[in-house]
Amino acid sequence: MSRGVDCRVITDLAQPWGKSESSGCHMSLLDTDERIIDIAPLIHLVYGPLVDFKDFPEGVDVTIMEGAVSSEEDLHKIQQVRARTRVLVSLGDCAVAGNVPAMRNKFGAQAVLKRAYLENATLDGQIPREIIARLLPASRPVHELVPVDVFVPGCPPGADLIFSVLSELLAGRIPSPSAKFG
Amino acid sequence: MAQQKIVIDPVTRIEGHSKISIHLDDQGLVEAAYFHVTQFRGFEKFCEGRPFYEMPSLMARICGICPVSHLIASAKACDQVLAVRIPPNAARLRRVLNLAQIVQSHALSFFYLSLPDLLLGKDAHPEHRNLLGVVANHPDMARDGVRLRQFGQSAIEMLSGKRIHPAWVVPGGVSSPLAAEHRDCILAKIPEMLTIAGRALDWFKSEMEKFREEIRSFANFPTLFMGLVGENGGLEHYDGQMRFLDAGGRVMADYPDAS
Repeated sequence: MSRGVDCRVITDLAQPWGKSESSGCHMSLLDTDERIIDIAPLIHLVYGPLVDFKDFPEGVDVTIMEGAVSSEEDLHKIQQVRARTRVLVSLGDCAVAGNVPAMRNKFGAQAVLKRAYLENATLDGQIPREIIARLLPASRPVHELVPVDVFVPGCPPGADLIFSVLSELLAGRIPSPSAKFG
Repeated sequence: MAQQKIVIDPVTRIEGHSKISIHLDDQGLVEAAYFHVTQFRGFEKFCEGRPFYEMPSLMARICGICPVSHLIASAKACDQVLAVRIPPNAARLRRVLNLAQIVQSHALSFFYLSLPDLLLGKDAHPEHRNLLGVVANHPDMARDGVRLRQFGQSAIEMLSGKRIHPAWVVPGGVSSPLAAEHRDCILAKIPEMLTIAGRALDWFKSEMEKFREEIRSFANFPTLFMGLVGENGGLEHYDGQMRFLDAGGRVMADYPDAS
């Protein structure tokens, strides 16, 4: 059976870290182990924690997004990502459903910042006002801010599931939610 | 020359999130430098009101690269809340899990994060200066790194049932024993892993000639040192005390105090 992808076609793949996640999903992607070596020739990695690019590029084929949208910078970033990406994948429970970062929502941004930076501080406690992005009132799943094409739940999703999704995308197909993967 | 600010954003190939800002005065000299940790989620607050035995698995989510560290630290705190001494085998199993994590995290740091710069050159284009560039140009080294990290991760999986964010470490010990076949599987892989680590270290040492200038100047100033030590002052990873050394290697203090 012939593969659905021309092996000379390089997929531009972006894997940004959100600021509200553990990176467990990225680590789960790396848990594909030596299969990464096999698919490496098919991929151009154009943005993410494993590459030293500072700006999110235009014309990205697939972006795999980890993490909830928690700060103003996250919000700006996800809108930029959506505008510059053909297929957006929400990877992991933080991106899909809010998950652990959203546990702060019932307390509100001020209460969590006060606890961390003032009540627990012994020296010169202050809530960061410069450089560090302001928290949004609530930490939210990606699809509440922008349309998402593929959802991959799990905390983290298993490596086999991630590899199945990746293989489908490299073959030019959107994974079907009703199919069994991994 | 006007004052300038140099911003490195994001800092990539680290286990975490950060920005760096360097302030230059009007002579162009560094007058201040800051390392900004740019991620904040609020664990300190949102754990309030939750059952204490949830904490180990919740704290694992602080980091997907070192969830085991947070899992174990939290479980140890829970042990103290319960005022229990855990079974000796549970302590040994937690130690093995911790060591497995050290293997995978160090493999990640060396092969996936640092090696692209060391191997392909700091001035290589970011398009190639990454893990996939190592795969393309030095596939044997890439495979070594993948296999070493895989060994740590699969040991974690064999012990705890899951590679990332396992639930196995609990207040009072661990929730299941290590099966004999898993133990044998882990032991059987160690010779190959030692060979890989040895090969990486030999290569690293031989490469240092190229980095004489960096070694001489980068972060090369007197500092204190801190680490976990056991009873005889040897390296500890699970228990022990924090020991502080001065720049000459003399012990300044232990915490908590041994007396």
